[in-house]
Amino acid sequence: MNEKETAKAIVSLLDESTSRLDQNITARLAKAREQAVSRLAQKPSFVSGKANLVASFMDYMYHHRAVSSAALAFSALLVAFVTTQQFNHEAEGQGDAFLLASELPPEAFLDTEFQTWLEESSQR
Amino acid sequence: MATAQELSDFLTQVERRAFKQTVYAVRDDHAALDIVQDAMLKLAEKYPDRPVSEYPMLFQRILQNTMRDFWRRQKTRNLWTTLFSSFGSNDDDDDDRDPLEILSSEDTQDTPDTQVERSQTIAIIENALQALPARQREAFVLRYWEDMDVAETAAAMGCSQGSVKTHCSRAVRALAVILEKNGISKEVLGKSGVER
Repeated sequence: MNEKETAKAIVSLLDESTSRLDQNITARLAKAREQAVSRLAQKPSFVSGKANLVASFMDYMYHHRAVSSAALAFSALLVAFVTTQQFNHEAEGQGDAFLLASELPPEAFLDTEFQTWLEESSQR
Repeated sequence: MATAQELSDFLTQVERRAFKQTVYAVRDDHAALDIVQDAMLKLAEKYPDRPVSEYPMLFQRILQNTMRDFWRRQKTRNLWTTLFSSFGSNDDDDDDRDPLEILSSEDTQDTPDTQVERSQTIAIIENALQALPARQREAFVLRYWEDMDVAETAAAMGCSQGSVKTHCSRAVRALAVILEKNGISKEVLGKSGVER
């Protein structure tokens, strides 16, 4: 008897064992089967492409939750870094503009005497 | 897409084998029933659009994963139980157990001279299967009982085809040794198998 024949002989005896199951067990299996079939029947027969895509994505995310969580955390860190850099850069630019603009107070340009003083000083 | 009737027919066909396979793995009827029920529900809920021809493979994959989830939960529970109850016990991994040692200690109470009868032979085979390392049992069941080819078994187990062949070969050898030890020769086994 080779390996395959031994396996087949064992399997045929195992098959026989399935026909000797306790009635309570077969009843529970039947109940589980009916429940599964009813779940299938409850499912809508038509699922829109968009909904199907979302469901597939959610299913993928659930089954790859470790990788998804790592990717999500990395993305959050990346976004935070880029945003911080952008904000700092803008703040620096605004600072320069403010300094340049604030060299003279706005009141100085409204003062007519100042204009006179400016003209006189430029003629000198 | 499978109809409700097709799903029902498929589950009727596989439910008993699935239950037995799960019992060999978890050694508890109630837990096995829960696992099979979970697998059935997952198949119906997650793969309603798949053709019925894909169901055997899908169902086996779901069943094996559900068993693994069960073992993971058990391991965590056992860890806490062990921590609280005793610090001295040291449980080894399932694969490290020697099935021959376990079986020989269990079977010393039996008298092997009349074990040629079918029911006793089946009981011995079932004990032997339970005593096999998890991966060997899984490979044997999928390859020979579920009649999957090597590639399908490898896909269901998430390992290489070479590993499947090795696991199957070791499982059959271990089972044959255990049966021999219990007075069931290959000839007797062949006769029992063919008689059906």
